[in-house]
Parts: sequence; structure tokens; C-alpha cells
Amino acid sequence: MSTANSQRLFLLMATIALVVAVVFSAVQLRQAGQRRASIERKLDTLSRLEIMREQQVAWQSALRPFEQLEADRPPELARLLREHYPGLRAEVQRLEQVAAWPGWQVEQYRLRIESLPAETVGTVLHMLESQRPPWKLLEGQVRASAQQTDQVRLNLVVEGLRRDP
Amino acid sequence: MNQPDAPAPLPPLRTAYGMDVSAQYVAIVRSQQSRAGIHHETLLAESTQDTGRTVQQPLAAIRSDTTLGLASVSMAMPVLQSSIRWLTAPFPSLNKARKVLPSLLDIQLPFPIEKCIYGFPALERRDGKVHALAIAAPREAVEQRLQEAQDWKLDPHRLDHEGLALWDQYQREQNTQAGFHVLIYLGIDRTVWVAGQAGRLLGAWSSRIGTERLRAADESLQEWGNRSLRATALQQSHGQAGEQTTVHWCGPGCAEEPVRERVQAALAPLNAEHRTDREAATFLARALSTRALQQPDDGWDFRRGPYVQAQSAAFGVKAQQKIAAIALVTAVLLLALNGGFRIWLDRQEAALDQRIREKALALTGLPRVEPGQEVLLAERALAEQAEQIEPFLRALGPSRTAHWQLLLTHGAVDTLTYDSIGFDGDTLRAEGTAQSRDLVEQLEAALQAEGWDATVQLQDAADLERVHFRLTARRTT
Repeated sequence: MSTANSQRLFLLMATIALVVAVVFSAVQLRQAGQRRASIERKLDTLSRLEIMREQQVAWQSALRPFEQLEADRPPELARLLREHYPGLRAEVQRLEQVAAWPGWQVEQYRLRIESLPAETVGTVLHMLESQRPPWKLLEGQVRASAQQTDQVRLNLVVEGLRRDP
Repeated sequence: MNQPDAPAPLPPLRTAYGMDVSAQYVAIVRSQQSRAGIHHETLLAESTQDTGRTVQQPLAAIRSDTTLGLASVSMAMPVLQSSIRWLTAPFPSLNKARKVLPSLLDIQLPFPIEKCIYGFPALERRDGKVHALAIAAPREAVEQRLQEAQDWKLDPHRLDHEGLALWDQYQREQNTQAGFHVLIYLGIDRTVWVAGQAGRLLGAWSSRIGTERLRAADESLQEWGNRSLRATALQQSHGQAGEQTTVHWCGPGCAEEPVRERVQAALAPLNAEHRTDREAATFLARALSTRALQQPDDGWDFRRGPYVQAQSAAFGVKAQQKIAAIALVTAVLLLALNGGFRIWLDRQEAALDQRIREKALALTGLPRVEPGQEVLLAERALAEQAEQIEPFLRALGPSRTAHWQLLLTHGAVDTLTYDSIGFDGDTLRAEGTAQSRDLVEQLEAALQAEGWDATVQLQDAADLERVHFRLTARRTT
């Protein structure tokens, strides 16, 4: 190839390269707005996910006291009452069992004591409350006994959390 | 027919040499361009018989400057050895005219156009037609002129057209807008006439009669006079009747006063105003160097095609290479910048996508989350987890037995007895009787002090002289 043709070829290639570069730059510029919007959307998505993740981590922290329990199941209510109040007659009825957090079940029980000295109501409630976790007093009703004035009827709903084996 | 490629423009130099060279005469002018304008310096203006050693010094200066690339050199192609004329294409399209002009020129030239260096430095659209100024010279004549330059050991950058250069310089120095003008270059071995009107070149023609022949024989003067009047009249016929005619004299022959007076007298029928250039001897050389510096739009150079000057060609090539290199570097920079930015953006987005994906997978516990579905699936997962964690949060919530104790403390005396006490979430309820309203109200106040929103309904029990009460308290804190 002659020198003149080489020169022309070089100039042609340089011109093509410049045109390609300018077109590429123009395309980039045109897409800049779209890219920016896309990145902003993703940053917003990430921000929302991070907030949700923080919430989730906080909930997972709430599991820790329960995960540190040695026993998978909460202590039996009837046994607890017998241990603390021997001779006390109590009726324990299981109400429902539902799944809670993965690996855990929630059990609700109704505890009925037909006759209880009025002055021991507070200690019984305190004893049951001290079983938190995994037990939790949800509801309770104390009524005066119709037969004896110093006795009351105690009706409680207690909720316990049981870990799947 | 294709006209030879136009030469590359001369390098933007500030110094140019113009050489008016013929068999009998040589004038060399050095022109330098500055902010103040162009300054001309006459290096030589002599008959060739007298030059001898005096020409060596300016020639040495020219060779030195041109070798170093500091200056350019221009010479002229004589009108005698070339052709200049106006052609008319009978349609207004310039593109169409460009295609037919070579054919129009060919039929008017005394030599075949294929053996010429030719071109059309000026094109005008007027009256629905295209008028083109055509310049041509046989290649042999161009080669011969270049050989003459070589005999002076010179390689001129530019071989201008004598007539065009003379008219151009005349326009620079004088007002040619009004009237009919004839510029007469009176040389030793030739005369050149250039006619123009209203600033427009009409034509140029030449004769081998110069002062050498005009000195010697009256026949030459008569022939000269006839030639002048005939050509002038022809050009004048294109103009307006009664127009003022101006004859401007230049050339080395103007210094021979007797000869000049005689030729001026021969033009008496023109009834013209005669003027002599103040630096007549170097007019043409000055014109050539000025055009080399100014490079006007109607500039012309016979050194084109195969005759392009080596330095100009090299400059042209270098200029092209420079342009190409700048274009290439710019292209590379643009591509690199944009490409790099794009890659960086892509990486940023990819990193964002990765983080979003990780967060979504951690939130949902799913093995895979479709792009675009992350927030939706995460919100669903979180809603489900909110229900699942509720018992745990309840279990960790504050104990209510203290509040029971509050109630039981107030109910420990006979003055206030409870029929029933209940609690449910954040609500306390109590029913019973009290000795007085005040006792119930004290209980209500105590609960409120502990952050309960307590309300009491009271009803007198007439038979027991006690007050029935029904208390409801909701946790406010």
C-alpha cells in the first residue's frame, strides 16, 4: 500500500473512531437519565429492605431468651401448682396450639381453681408470672366464692411457647 | 475530466517571499505578517543583466528560511503561458455547473484540457446562471516554469497566476468598486493587462512587448497600443457607458519614464485617469508574497496534483496526520471515559442488585427471589413473621401482676370488696362494692396516677348502704 493510501486509511479510521466515540457518548448521555432513575429506585429498594431487615433482626433478638431455655417445653402448669401449693385443686384445660415462629409452637391453657384463699391470689399470680418465659398470663378473672367469703374462684388463661424437638 | 487535486494550504507562516522572475528581470520581496499588518521589504529589483552577485544573498536567505520551514516562496505563472477567462453555465445549480465547466473550458482552450492544470477559483450565481472564473495552463508550461525556479535553486511553494495576483494586489491597495479599471504591468520583456470593474476581475491578457522592444521600435509601440485598446474596448463593452476609466501602472518598466509616457499617450483614446504605483517595480512580487500570507478564497496555485510542492505536501500530510491523531486520541479518550464510566456504573448497579438480593433472601428465607419482587416478597414475609413473633413479644412484655397488687391492696379491707377482678391484655376490670364513693374514687385516682385510663360507674345499693362500682382501666403508657 502506498504512503498516500496509508495516510488516507489512517485518517478514515481515525474519523470512524471519532464518529463511533461521539455516537457512543451521545447514547451514554441519553441513557444517563434512565440509569440514574434506575439506581435511585434500587437505592430506595435497598433502603426499604434494610429497614425491614432491622425489624427482622430485632425480632430475632426477641427469640434469644427463649432459645437459651434448657427445656424445649414449658413446665407443666399442674405440676407447678402442686409444687408450690400442694393440696390445691386446679383444673388445667388445653385450649389451642398454633405454630409461631419457625421451630416454635404456642399453646394456650385455661387454669381453673374453684376455691382459693383470697390472700393467696396475688402469690399464685406472681408465681405464674415468674415463669416468664416461656409462660405468660394472658387473661384472668377472680370472683368471690358464693359459698365462702374468704375464698375466691380463679380463672386464668395462660400462654406458653414450646420449641419443636 | 477531473481537475487535479487542490494543493494543501500553505503552513501558517508569518514570512513569505514573492519572486517576480523573468528572463530579463528579477524582483524579490520579503513580506512579514504581524498584528500591525504586512510589512514588505524589497530584497532585490534588478534587471537580470545587473544581478550577478547581488541576487545570491537574497536567494541564500530564501533557501535558508524555506529549508527551516520559516517562510514560503511564491512565483507566478505568466499570463502569456496560461489562460484566464469567465465561463457561463446556463443554469443556476452550482453542482451541475461544476460537472459541465471542464467541457465548456475544453472547447475554448487552444490546447487539450487533459494536458492542462486547470481549475475554477471563483464561482458566481447571477441572473439564473453560473459564472465561473477558469484558469488553465499546459502541464509543459508548468514544468518549464518550475524548471526555471530550479535554475535559481529554488522550489517555490506556490505557483500563482500572474493576472490573478496583480488584480488581487490592486484591489488591496486601491478602491476598485467604482468605474472601469485597467492595471498594466509594464515589464522589460512583456506587458500584462488586467481589467476589472466594480471590484470584479474581467480578464487578463499579455504581450511579449515590454520596455525593451518599446524603447527600440515604433512598430512595437503601435502594436502595443492597438492591442491595448482592442482588449480594453472589449472588456469595457461589458460595462456601463460613460464610466470613469482608471489605468494603474506597475512593473519595472514604469521606471523608464520616456517609455511610460509614450505608452500612456498610446492609450489616450481611453480618456482614462492614469496613476503609477509608488512601488511599481515590486508590485507583482509584493502581490505574490501577500497572497501567500493571506491565502485568499480565490487563491490559485498551479502546484497541484503531481506538481504539489514537497514541503507543502509534507505539511499537508503532517496536517492530516495531526488531525487524524487528534481525532484518534479524542476518540480513544471519549471511548475510554464513557466506557470506563459505563463499566463503573454497571458494577455499582450490580453491587446494588447483589445487596438487594442478599437482603431479600435473608428476609424471606426463600432460595430465590425474582428481580423486581424483592420488596413485595419481603413485605409478605415480614407480615407473616409479625404474627409469628407476637407471642414472644407478649411473653417479654411487662408484667401486670403489679397492677393486680394495686387493686388487691385497695381491696384488702372491708371497706372495699371485689366481686370480680379481671385482666385482659392491657385492660383491668373490677366489680364490687365499697363503703363509700370516696373509696372508689381513691382507687380510680391511684390507677390514673399509675398511667391507667380508669373510669368508674357507681350505683348506690340501698339495702347494703354500700356503693356498687364497676371499674374499667386501660393502659395508656
